[in-house]
Amino acid sequence: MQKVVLDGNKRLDGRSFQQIRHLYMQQGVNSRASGSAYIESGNTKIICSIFGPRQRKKKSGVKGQINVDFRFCSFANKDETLHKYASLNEKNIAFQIEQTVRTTLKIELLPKSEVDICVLVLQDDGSVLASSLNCVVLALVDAGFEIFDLVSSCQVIKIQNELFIDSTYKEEEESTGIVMISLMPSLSEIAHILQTGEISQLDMIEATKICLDGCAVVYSLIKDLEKLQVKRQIGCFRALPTELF
Amino acid sequence: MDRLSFSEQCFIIQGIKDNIRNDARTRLDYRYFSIETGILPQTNGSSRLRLAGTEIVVGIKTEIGEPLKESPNDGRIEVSVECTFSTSERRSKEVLNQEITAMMQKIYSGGKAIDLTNLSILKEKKCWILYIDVLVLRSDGNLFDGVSLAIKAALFNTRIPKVQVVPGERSGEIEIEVFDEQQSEKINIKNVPICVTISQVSGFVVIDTTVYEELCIDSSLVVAIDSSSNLFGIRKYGNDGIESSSLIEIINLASKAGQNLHARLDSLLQFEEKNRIQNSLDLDFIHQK
Repeated sequence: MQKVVLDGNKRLDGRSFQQIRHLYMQQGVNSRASGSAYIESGNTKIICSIFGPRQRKKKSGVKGQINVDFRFCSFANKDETLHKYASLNEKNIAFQIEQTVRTTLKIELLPKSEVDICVLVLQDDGSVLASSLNCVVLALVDAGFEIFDLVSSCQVIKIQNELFIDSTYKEEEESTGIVMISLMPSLSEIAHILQTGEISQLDMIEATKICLDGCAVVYSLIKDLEKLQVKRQIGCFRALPTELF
Repeated sequence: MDRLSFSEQCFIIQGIKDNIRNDARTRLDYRYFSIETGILPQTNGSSRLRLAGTEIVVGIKTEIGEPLKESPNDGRIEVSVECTFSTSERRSKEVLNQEITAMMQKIYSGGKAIDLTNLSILKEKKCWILYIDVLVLRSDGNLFDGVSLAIKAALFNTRIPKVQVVPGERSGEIEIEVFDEQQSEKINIKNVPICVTISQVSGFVVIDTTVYEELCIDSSLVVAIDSSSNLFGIRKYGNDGIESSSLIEIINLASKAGQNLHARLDSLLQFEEKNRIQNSLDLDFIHQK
């Protein structure tokens, strides 16, 4: 374990155990979509576009429908067969994203309509689900949907007796258990939780705490971005001195 | 059975609030379940579970195959879950099949629930493949729990034939001799987890929900837990969030419920194993209540 994922007391990329990677986020990358976002978490690169809401094709039912299309690019992984979410294939990850969006979005405001969410993983370097969910939320905000909260997600993995936050692909290969939590911080509610692999009850409690802390960090980053975005929008019509903003 | 009227929902939710449900249970009561093993003679292991109206049949077949390239020392387990048409509408049925299969597959392909190295016959060449086929005949709610209980029972019943590898006629070839049934081996099911579904209805925690109650729940958490409180998987369903402060409580509750369920299932299985030798097989399972 020492050589594979650790360099002394630090991880291979120089982070400590409870430090997340640098996040780069951008909204409105796809001008043809009603909302889009791009996220880079270390080397994990994901783009998300949202189309709709538009009239439902199928007439049955009055509830709003969410269609999620999740794909890995053919060049996203080094080795496709060796994927940590092996049995969690594209379809399953799409279902997880749909579940989270259902919790976040005020779906009752979109009767008889459907929303298409397309997530494309350009490069996979671990924490794919958590990064995708962050990306989806940014795109939802960009599209102007009413959501309960800026859902922020984070992943913790267990390798032997250590817990690592925001894991890379290499670390995931060594892991025995994965915990992913999406938090709605201002409601302090959990929008989604997924755990796979084996993890003891005590470790799970510890991992939950670390995960929630990580979510809070991601939340502050997303919130800063949104504040900046709003400032930029207002900036176009600015008539007052900058200090007021 | 995909919809309830508003007043029906109110009635069920009020009952849960008052801690008395439609079948006179309290919020944390589990329904009695019965289990039978060895019901399908063509399979290597089988079981039938009845949890009130929920009826599940599991058959396990073993086959000699080749191991995956990534894990040459391990055997394989393939799970497939199928709900019959009577359980729910088509679209939700497909999602249900897919979800339960994914959860079970993830549990059993990890190598911790069942030691996959024991299923290896010859490194990189031959291994046992266990095909776990689950059929949900009728649904009265709580399918995740039911399916996991039935699979554990079927694994308890499964016997893997003893084999010996002998060199073939030509050099480089191998042959596998299978011994007769008396010498088959049991599978170690000590670490096999079962799922406990904990649902939340307007702030109250409920376990073992019926079909009607499932239409009223805000959110539910499926926790897979083994007899020594190790977690093997958590998934969340439903449209509402879960209070982050109550998450740990829910996991602790699931752990306690899991221990009780494991204990009850184990005692049932021991009893069943003794009885089965005396009684003849009863295959008329579809028409029975």
